[in-house]
Amino acid sequence: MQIRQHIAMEETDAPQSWNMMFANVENNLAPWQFSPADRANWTEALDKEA
Amino acid sequence: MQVPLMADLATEGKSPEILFWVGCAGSFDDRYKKVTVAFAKILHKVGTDFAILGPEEGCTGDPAKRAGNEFLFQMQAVQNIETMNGYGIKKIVTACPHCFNTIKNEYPNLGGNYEVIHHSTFLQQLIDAGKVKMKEAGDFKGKRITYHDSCYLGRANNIYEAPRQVLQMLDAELVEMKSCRTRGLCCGAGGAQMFKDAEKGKKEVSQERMEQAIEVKAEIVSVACPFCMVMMTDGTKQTGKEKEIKVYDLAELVAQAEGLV
Repeated sequence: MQIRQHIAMEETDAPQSWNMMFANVENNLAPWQFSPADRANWTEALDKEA
Repeated sequence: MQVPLMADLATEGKSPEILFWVGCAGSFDDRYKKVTVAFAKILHKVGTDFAILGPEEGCTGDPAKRAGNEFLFQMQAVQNIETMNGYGIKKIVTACPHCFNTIKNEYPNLGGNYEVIHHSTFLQQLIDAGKVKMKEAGDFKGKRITYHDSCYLGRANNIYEAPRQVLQMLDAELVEMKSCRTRGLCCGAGGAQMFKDAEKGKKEVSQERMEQAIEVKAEIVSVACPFCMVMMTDGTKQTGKEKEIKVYDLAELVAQAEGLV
């Protein structure tokens, strides 16, 4: 992991897809491009049930 | 049923016993959202006093840390710790071994000290306490089920028996693959590999793993991790066994056996 830290933070040479994941974590608070506001949307299915 | 938000309870002056940490996959991945729903139904049925953070929850920082971005990991961790400490959270349950490992083992150094339980252990405790009752003539009677060890539960946190004990009460035939427990084979997604292309090689790790499940004639491959779920599902496709082999999370199997889904 120290080697990865060197590559990611010193050389800024991580694989492109990891850089995109970093950007998503930083901007969307998740490794994918979803809005943080939608985090609890899964509960909607339960709300409908009695 | 309603799933309460920590923020709403706080305004009423309430603090629930347990925070259900849903995680990114549990919140956004269509397949794993079903696991989240199944687990929430179980929590509700047994009367657990719980809440979620909802929009206030953020990635634990695990994928950033594994990929070498310690700086981003610490930013995420500090933000989450501030949120959780603000609510005075003491106990956390999560269905994601990555979140589990990170909050349990890496947050204490940054000021986040909680009792963290993975849902496999939590389900086992419910079963031991007699709170989860399976319906008569179970759906899984006599089915061959194998359990795929998640690295972050098994090798990283020494949790091997809880998931198996949960499966044993399904009255199914629990079979072990060639590589299991301390010698378990990775699904291919650990260490942030989920978020990049596979390294060069002759075969996908997920295919190799699914071939082991086929060897022991498993009808159901049970998992306890959102990334293992993705990889094992890919594995059934890579081996052309989509119809014959189903992949389920422990919480789904328990919810199904209880007649909740």
